[in-house]
Amino acid sequence: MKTNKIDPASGQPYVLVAEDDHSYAAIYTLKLRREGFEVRLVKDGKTLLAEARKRVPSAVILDLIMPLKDGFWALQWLKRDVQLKKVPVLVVTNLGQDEDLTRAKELGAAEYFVKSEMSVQEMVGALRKYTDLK
Amino acid sequence: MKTKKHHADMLSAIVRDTHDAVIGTDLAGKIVSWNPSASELFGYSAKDILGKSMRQIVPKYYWPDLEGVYRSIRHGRRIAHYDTRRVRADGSEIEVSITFSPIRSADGKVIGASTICRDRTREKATERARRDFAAMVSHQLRTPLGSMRWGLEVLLRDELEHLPPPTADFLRRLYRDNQRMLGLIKDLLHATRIDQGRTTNAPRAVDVPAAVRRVTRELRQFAQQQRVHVRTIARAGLPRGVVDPRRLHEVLKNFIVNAIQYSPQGASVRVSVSATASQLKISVADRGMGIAQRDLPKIFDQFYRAPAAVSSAVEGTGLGLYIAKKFVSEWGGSVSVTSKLGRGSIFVCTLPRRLPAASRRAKLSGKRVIK
Repeated sequence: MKTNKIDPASGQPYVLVAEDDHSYAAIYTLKLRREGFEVRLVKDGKTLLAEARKRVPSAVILDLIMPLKDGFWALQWLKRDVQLKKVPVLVVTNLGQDEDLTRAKELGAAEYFVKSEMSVQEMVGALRKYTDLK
Repeated sequence: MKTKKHHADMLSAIVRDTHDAVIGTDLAGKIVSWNPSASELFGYSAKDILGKSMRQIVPKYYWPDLEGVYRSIRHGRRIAHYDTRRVRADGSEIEVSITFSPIRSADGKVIGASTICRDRTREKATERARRDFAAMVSHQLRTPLGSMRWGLEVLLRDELEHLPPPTADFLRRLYRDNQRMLGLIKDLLHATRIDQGRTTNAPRAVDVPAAVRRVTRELRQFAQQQRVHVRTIARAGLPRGVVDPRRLHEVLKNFIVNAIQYSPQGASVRVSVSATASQLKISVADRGMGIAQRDLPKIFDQFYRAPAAVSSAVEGTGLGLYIAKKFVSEWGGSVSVTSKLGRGSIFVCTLPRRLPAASRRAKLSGKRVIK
């Protein structure tokens, strides 16, 4: 799945983060920039898709419950897009039920994490695994 | 003669005035008696319903179950507290708990069935609302607690060198409290899902001693930290238990973690597996603080923690044993405990060696077991 290398322009992996919670959004931005990622934050599924089409990210971090269009919707459209279907999507959500996990995996999510059950360092580690940042 | 009549009058007064619907039928299911509470519950007067079939008040999809009930009655068997649905005269369905008993003639022959029916619609709705509420609250709490966790982790990892030691120490305490709350919510959501039957629980043949060894291996480091030695005793060639492997892992972990936590340093915990003709028996024995006799009946209740456990240094949610009991009962097994204060406790869990009859039947017909 490591199809998206470090962005040649910035020299950093470009991560699109879809997260509507302010606190999580602030931590993603702070932590991922510190760890050497270029981060762009969006707050709904529709904007995520539009941004990804403008510039293909190295990886996507996707929350599931979001306004306008939710994470499932965005995931479905990312995977239908020829340019974007190989971008690894890491679902990071507080929906912890088996049926949500199954649905996201069926739609093509590379990983599925329950936010409150993973540490911030595990999140960074997972992202490194799917980008070429060591 | 007078006494006999007096008794009969008293009996009919009880049936007439009880709040439960009491219905009498013959063996073909034809309604022969109908008390005022039955009229109130189902909306049929005695005049309208007498002589009709019981099917009149049973939803069509439960007709096969009704036939099964009458088969049992004909064999003289009683069916107690059977949760099912019934249909009222206006077509609406209600949730009820029913007890069916055979009616016998003077010479002991089964001649009919008596049905005592209690409306549980409101009770069930309250129960559902409580569970939905717990799930909703837990979910809403998870988001802020989770972002606090991440925030604290960033501070404790990236900023530690800039923090004065008392501040760092303070943040570590906050982090531990945050972890505790997240753990509680996780258990709570898990228990709610189990209550709602929304967890996978698919029994199959499982090597139980191997499962025990896996759990003890996983807990080795934890046991070492607590300075407790865990011994496993199981003879080779034991038959397999019929359980869900993931859930068994969870059940065993709950029992063994408890035993380790409540043991004094240097003590050992003994986990043994043995077999009887129809069951596998797992016992987990510790030399911990023990449980007072008065607390034993409540030990498997949801959220219950014995007062001595609450005041000890061991943290818990009062959900582990409840969850264990729930799964084991669903497999047709049982859990029990014997304990002596200051001497230790022995938790015993029996597991079926084959599927209980009810789930076998349900599996064959592809139907869910009515609980």
